[in-house]
Amino acid sequence: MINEGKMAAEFLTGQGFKTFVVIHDTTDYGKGQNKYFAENLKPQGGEILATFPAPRRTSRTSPPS
Amino acid sequence: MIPALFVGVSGIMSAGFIEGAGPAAEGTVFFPQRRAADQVRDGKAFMDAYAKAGYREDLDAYGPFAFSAANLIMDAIEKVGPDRKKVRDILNTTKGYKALVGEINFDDHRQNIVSANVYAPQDGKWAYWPDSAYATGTKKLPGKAASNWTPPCAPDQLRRWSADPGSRGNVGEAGNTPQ
Repeated sequence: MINEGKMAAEFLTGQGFKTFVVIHDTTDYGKGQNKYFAENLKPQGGEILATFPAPRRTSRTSPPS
Repeated sequence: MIPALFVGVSGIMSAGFIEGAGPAAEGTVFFPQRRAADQVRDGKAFMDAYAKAGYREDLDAYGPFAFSAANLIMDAIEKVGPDRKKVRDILNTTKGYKALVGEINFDDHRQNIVSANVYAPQDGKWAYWPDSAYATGTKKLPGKAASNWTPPCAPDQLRRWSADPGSRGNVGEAGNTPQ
């Protein structure tokens, strides 16, 4: 997981992208991915403009998990 | 519409993404830890056996990991017998193990040390970036010209919107798009 965020940060800033918006689910997986991407983006000089945590729903009528 | 590049990591990189997004999947990029099964050693043999077994589901991002994990356990049991402690101890020493997902090396937290790869949907299939039309320059990623795109409101207003649960609608519900 850690490596994916690192690769994403390095590859995308290498391609010339400077600004980012993150949408992640609120499971440990989603939160972890957001954490490692954000941590690895900082030294690359990228900027996260906004972060949207999106709770997963199993159906339209169930509460968010 | 925002001229931006859509990217994701392993969790969303599945056959379902390409199916669901259709033509919109072209020009997106993903960063999974595994290599596609047909691009690793014994990968072809594995893909053939998987197809022959008749599973309806696609392997998706984690199928090869499940296969590798099962083999790690079976090999450990073959070495030390069906003893839980012995199997755990030998698994903890896993280094240089050649698996379907590449070489497995467990660090002292028993996390596999592996590097991530870059994939992009191309013509309805997952293409390994270094082999893709994007790497050769035949295709270009969208949003490149907009790499200095400035948001329609001040960045700190965007941040306030996303951090305050009270102010945002139900993300993911159709029709409730952020302002």
